[in-house]
Amino acid sequence: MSAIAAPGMEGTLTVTPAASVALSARAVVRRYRNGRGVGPVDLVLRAGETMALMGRNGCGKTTLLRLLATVSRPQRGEVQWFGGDAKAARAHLGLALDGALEDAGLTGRQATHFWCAQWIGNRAEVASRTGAVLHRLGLGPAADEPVGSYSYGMRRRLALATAVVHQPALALLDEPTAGLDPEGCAQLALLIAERAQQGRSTLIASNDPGFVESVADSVAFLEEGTMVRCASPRELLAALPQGRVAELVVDGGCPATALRAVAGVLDVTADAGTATVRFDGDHTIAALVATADAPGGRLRELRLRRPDLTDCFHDLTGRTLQERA
Amino acid sequence: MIGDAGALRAALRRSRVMPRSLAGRELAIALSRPRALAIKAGLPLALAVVLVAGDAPTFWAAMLLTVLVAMVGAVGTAVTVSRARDAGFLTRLAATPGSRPRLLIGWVLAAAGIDVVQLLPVAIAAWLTGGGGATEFAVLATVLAATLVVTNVLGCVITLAAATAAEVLLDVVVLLAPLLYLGGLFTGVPAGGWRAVVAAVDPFSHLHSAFIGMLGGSATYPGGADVIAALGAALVAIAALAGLSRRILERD
Repeated sequence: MSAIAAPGMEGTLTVTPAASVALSARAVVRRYRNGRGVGPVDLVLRAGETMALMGRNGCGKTTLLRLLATVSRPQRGEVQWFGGDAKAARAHLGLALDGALEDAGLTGRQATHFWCAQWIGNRAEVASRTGAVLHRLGLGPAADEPVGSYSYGMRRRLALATAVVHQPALALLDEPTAGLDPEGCAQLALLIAERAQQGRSTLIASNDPGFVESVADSVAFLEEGTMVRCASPRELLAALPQGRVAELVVDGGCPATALRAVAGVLDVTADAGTATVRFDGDHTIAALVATADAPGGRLRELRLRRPDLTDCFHDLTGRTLQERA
Repeated sequence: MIGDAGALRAALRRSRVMPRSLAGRELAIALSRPRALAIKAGLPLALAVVLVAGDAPTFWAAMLLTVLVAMVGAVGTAVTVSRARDAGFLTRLAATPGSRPRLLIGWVLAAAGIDVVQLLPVAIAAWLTGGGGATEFAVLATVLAATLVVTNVLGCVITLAAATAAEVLLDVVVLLAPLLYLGGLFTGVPAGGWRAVVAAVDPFSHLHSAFIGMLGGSATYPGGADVIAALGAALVAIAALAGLSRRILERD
């Protein structure tokens, strides 16, 4: 057992890292008049666990995140936080929203100080944590500059800093890597890993497969508001066929039929100018290049990668994560 | 010398207000824009000086000053809250452990307080040029503060109806115009009938009356009635804000 609490925080949250449930949603539904929204969804996030929600734009990730952040209520079903209700849970939550911006006139330190003080009463503790988290996320030198002078990436770092400055037992981060450079992503991944070691849970909504694979213990795929699969990244990737993936960008349109006919090709997903080809063969790449660069088309880009979580999503739903729901 | 100037700037930056509450945050934002603060305080004062020094008819000068107060309070808060919603700030506030009514009331009172600082020079200008006494000034200042609480609450609540920060400006006008009309600002308060009853509880009618009294005209109501009605309206507005706090914070 370990106790997670910040000095001055209302109440102390006692969790058992291995077994305690930080968050549970049972048959939760929140639908809007246009039919969009989420549910029914079942979800369990344990203490110290990091879970990622992946799904196309408009599939209900943010709606679900708002429900889990206690800022909207389900029409059906039940959500529990640490076994209790929303009101009690707010003492242990941290929230970073995609697109959330602080007032341009405040400095990064002022903005972070304000959010930290919503949870922590001790002034010295607030000041100390504010300085520490800004330094930690690479904003130390710019802490006393107005937010209006920050770049987009710095504002995103600030949003993350304000969400975790009070060391919440449950952090909900919407698109946390959006706008971050590789160094920022690495700092964030380290932060999430440390939170997990301390028994703190993190739920992220992200379509960044590399980042999700590096930080998440489990991944929940959402499609049209329902959860199609929830499993560990390892389990999901193990279900994919062996081989590699080639992403081709072709001027003049992708010859999808011709690409499917290439020896060693397992699967092709194509739209007007791009194709994602899964293949398993020694000489397939040369044949793919020759096919894509044939008369009538001009191969402009070729990227090779190993299969990742976006391919898992495609296998489960028949759609790519880049499509809009 | 250059190093000293840099150190001074750095020290000034470090000495900035560290907000712990929404009121503190409002103050920090206001102080971060001294030019905007000077313009916001200077423009109403310039208008007031032009009106009272130009011997404008008392009824119309008081009407314009009342409309100014209504617009400053309601528009400022409506735009601030609307932008805060667009920026995700309200959603984040809704996920904090503080009491929602207390959060919003504190925020609106802070905004109203800043508006009082901005508009008090207008009341002082009216006092200095209008020939009213200290009692009339105390009445005007109290009614002004209470009315600014009402207008700030109206500005906050009207954001429930508006989809964007731009749309909220139109909604403020649509809301305020009938309230100002029913307060008798454009036509005077009828001696009897339902409009007289409505005007008697309309804080704008009482602010108008207090301005008329301050500018040396014949006030519509006694000063005591102005104070009681305006404070009553402010309390009702705060209670309404508390009741709507969840909806205001949780609206998408």
